[in-house]
Amino acid sequence: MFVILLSLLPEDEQALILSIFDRYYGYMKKIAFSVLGNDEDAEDAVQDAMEVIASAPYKYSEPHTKAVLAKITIIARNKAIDIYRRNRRRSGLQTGLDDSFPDPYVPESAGSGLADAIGRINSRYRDLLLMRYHYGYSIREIAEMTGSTYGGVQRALSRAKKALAKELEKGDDQ
Amino acid sequence: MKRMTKRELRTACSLYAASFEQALPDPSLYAVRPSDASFARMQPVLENAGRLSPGPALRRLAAAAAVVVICFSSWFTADAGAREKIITWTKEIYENTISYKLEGDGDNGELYTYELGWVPRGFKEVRRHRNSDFSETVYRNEKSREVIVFAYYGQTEYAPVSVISIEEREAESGTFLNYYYEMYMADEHSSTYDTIFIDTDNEMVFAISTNRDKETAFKLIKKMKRFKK
Repeated sequence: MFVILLSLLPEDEQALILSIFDRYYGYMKKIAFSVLGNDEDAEDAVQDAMEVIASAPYKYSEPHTKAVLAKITIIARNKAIDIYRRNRRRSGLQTGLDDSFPDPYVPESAGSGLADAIGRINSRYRDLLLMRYHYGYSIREIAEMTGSTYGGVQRALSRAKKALAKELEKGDDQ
Repeated sequence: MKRMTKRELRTACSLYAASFEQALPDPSLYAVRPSDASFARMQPVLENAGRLSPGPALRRLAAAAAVVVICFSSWFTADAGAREKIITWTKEIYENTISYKLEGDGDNGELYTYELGWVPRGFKEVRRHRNSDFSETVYRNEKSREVIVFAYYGQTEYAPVSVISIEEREAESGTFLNYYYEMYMADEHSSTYDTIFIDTDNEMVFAISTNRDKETAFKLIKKMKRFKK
């Protein structure tokens, strides 16, 4: 199906972005803080997340919905992780898209073996799969969101699918 | 190791996302008014709204993957009069989507409105949206649950853009009557045949989506009626 984008008027876009900022600022900061553990970096993560949101405002045109809340959760978490990785690199420590971070919002059951297996894999892999295969973000957008490269995201997605298949197999064995 | 199809993966991700969304807290529990300094930092973000953020990594990506632009104007300038028009139809191909836009001098005057002169039996208009920039009408067959979407636009100040998901979809292009068309076939990723018809004489883009069949799209455009404003 087509999506006809009658480009939002700049004022409308700005109003939408400001309403998202106003509504989700505290929530994004809480998520970022849980990864970074300090206020200053968490503030940077919120700004970075807002840049992602502002680059395609039409994806968040219904800011009160659960779907937008979920997208914002993933974006804020990944922007915080990106800052965490940068900080680690500066300290000479390596991290990558395969690192797992605590995710407090994993549902107990998702309704199918494969969906439940998604809940058990590395949280970063899970975010990648959700953004790509449910929320419809392009690899380029995910690369921007995660501070990775196009190829890096492609490779991480491939590893995420393998991890999921392995997890599913593990579940079948039990 | 188990192999899963893309469809299985999408279904599982959708199921998981539904539960994930329910597990998320109410963001109003964490509502904090951003400080003036935070608002001040938002200013450049607002100024760049709708544009890709300008980080160096992204600039690199944009150069590699962003767009192929094809100018249609040169394909359609069969007569000398048309040749003088400064219009360019651009088709931008992204990773999974394609967009069609008319960029020109905006001198087409928006002289006409368009209506479908025929829809298959059982279809009724269920929604219509029209403003000075574009028009979109949706028809539905309640029994078969099929839909037809008919939209059109010209070159306007806010330049509407049609975006079609093209992920792994078969496509065909050609000319039909006076239109150049590009059609994306229905498949496992999309339930609709999505066709763009470009009318360079009148500087209009017509978009038709239908989950019937490709012949229906051609018949719809053939029977389309034009009315002077």
